[in-house]
Amino acid sequence: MRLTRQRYVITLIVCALVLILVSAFGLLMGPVDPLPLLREGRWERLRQIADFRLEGVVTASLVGASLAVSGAAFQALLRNPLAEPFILGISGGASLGVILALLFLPAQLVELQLSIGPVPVFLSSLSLAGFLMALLTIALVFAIAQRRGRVDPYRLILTGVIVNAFYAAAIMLVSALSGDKLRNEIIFYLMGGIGTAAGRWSELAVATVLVFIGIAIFMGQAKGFNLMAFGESAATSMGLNVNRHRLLALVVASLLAGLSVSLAGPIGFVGLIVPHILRMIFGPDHRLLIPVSVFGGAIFLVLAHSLLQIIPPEIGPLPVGVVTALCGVPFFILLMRRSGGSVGGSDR
Amino acid sequence: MNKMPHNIATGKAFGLLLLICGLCLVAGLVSAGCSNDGPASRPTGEGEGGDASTPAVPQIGKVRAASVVPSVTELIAAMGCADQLVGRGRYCQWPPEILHLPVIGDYVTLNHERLIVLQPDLLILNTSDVSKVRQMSNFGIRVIAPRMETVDDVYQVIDLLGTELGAPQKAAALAAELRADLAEVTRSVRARSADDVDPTATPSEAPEPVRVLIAFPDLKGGAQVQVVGRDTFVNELLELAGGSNVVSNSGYVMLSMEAVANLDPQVIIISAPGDMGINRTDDQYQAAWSRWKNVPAVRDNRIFVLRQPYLTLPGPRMALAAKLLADTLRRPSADSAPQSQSDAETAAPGRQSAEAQP
Repeated sequence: MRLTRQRYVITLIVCALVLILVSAFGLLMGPVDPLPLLREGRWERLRQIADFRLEGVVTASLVGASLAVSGAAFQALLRNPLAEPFILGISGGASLGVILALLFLPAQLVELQLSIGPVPVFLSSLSLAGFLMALLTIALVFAIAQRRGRVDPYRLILTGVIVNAFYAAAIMLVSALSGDKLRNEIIFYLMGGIGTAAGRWSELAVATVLVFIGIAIFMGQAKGFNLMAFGESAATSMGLNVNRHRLLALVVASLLAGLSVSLAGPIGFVGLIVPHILRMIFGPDHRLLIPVSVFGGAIFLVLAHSLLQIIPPEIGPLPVGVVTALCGVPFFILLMRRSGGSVGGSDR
Repeated sequence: MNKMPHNIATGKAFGLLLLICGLCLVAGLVSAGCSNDGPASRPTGEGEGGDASTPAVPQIGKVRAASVVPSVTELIAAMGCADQLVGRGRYCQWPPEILHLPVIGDYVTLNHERLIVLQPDLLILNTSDVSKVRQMSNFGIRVIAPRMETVDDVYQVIDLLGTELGAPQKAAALAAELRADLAEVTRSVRARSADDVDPTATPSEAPEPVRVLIAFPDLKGGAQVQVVGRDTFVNELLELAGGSNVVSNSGYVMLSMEAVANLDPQVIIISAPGDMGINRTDDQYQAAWSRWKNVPAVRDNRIFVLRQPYLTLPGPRMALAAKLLADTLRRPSADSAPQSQSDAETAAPGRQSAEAQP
């Protein structure tokens, strides 16, 4: 499929429309029926509920977009169909950060108030701790994997797996030593879920800015991703500074992954499967795949989050990861069967 | 080539550094974890050998019991039978006189070796797990797992303990005392609501019970909240205390914040006992509700954080809990001090035991 300007524009407009549609669906889904409130004219209550649901929808779309675009980048950069945003140990690092902050942070520091110019910004220091630990993990993994400034993908993956195993052990240690209630809390956090930041819109605003910066960088690098598919030496001969390109893209992808974990815990599956699904539908050209991943991830997670809202409370709170895998896997298998086996890495 | 030794050396140094970092992290986590339940584990660590080898407690003929259920342990002590206890659960933290007992397990696991050494006649668990019962009966230990979920259950368990421990008079005395205390709470609630027809309260509220939500805090400020529903011990106490639960679901349920807010509670009580292991100020717990500005409880600043662990614990302090709830419902706003003197008194031991919890 050739990527024409027309196809590009139409695809993205359709994606945006679907995202808007799905978000509207998310705003309508919830345990409180808005109709009686509407009839009684209780606008203030309606506004609060809409505000509450919007926060969930925005969080879900930010997290979904980050995970999917980060997964697409990882799969292209490491030329490995099993690559996903958490392959470098980011989820373990960020989770450990959040859990340790949950355990040991003094009460006064749980919410931070900063000022950016005249605007007060409220951040949860739990999210911040998760993000900082993600940064630290990225630095650690790259420091271990690099040789004279060069990063070899296989060493990188291996390092990531090992670092992740270490964090997993540390998390197990912490939860083994915690009380029952706290252990539940930790386990539930590790399942990943779209909470709300208790009206902390400024935190979401900061996250939005970061996500958009990341997406912009990826869009600028889309041609590089395409060249990487031909292999390292071919890409070099076609004028790509492979090392620089790979390092920058890996760091940005890891940052997006860390951001998503600090917002919603480690939500699995989205970052692995959504890029694959989109590649089957839209082809491997990253100039289209990157923006489509942004929309696709957002749509997918908002939809999963909204479907969760219909489940009656007696069943209990289900982590959104359950829905993403339960709905996504059959869909993925269907697509894989129909596409005649041409599934796999970005380069095939 | 000549660079090789240097590389190996730096590689080794780097590896060593990593190893040290790892060990430090593990050590830090272990010590942090230990300090977490420090007050609980320390006394048992010291007293373990002595208690296990020389069970000085029992006199001849008395049933020797061990309980991992905090409320039952508390009941046995309140009956005046603490001398018959030879072991306790990890979360049994009250009264202080039982803290020296060796820990024999918790809800999930039992320490078999300690139990064999201690050889209690009776073991009280929270679930009658078949495999555990069989295991223990192989050791010659009788296992009971009484249901302890309602006020009525408490009386039945007291009765049962009287029989099992061979102290029916003590059991009857405790039951009578508890009945009298609860009756006293009910009586004073009625008397107060009769008083409230006077100018202090809004007349419309006086005849109807206050609409109350009792919630447990969520540590990360999630979209869902665990609340106290119908058919629970806390709900019984709430009704005794003159409140009516806004939640119509049964049991301790997770509900969406929006659904809970839409129930329009007049009072929100957040039960945050010390065993969460987390420090949060009242303000921070209250802040989770701040977005629902037109919910009456939020509007009137009637979100109360109660940290007494006995609030949700069926046991000998249930009358205290009912009284605490009754006093809380009468507070006009969270800024006002607790009304009665006795509330401050009852809060003190609760806080103390909250700190002792792991």
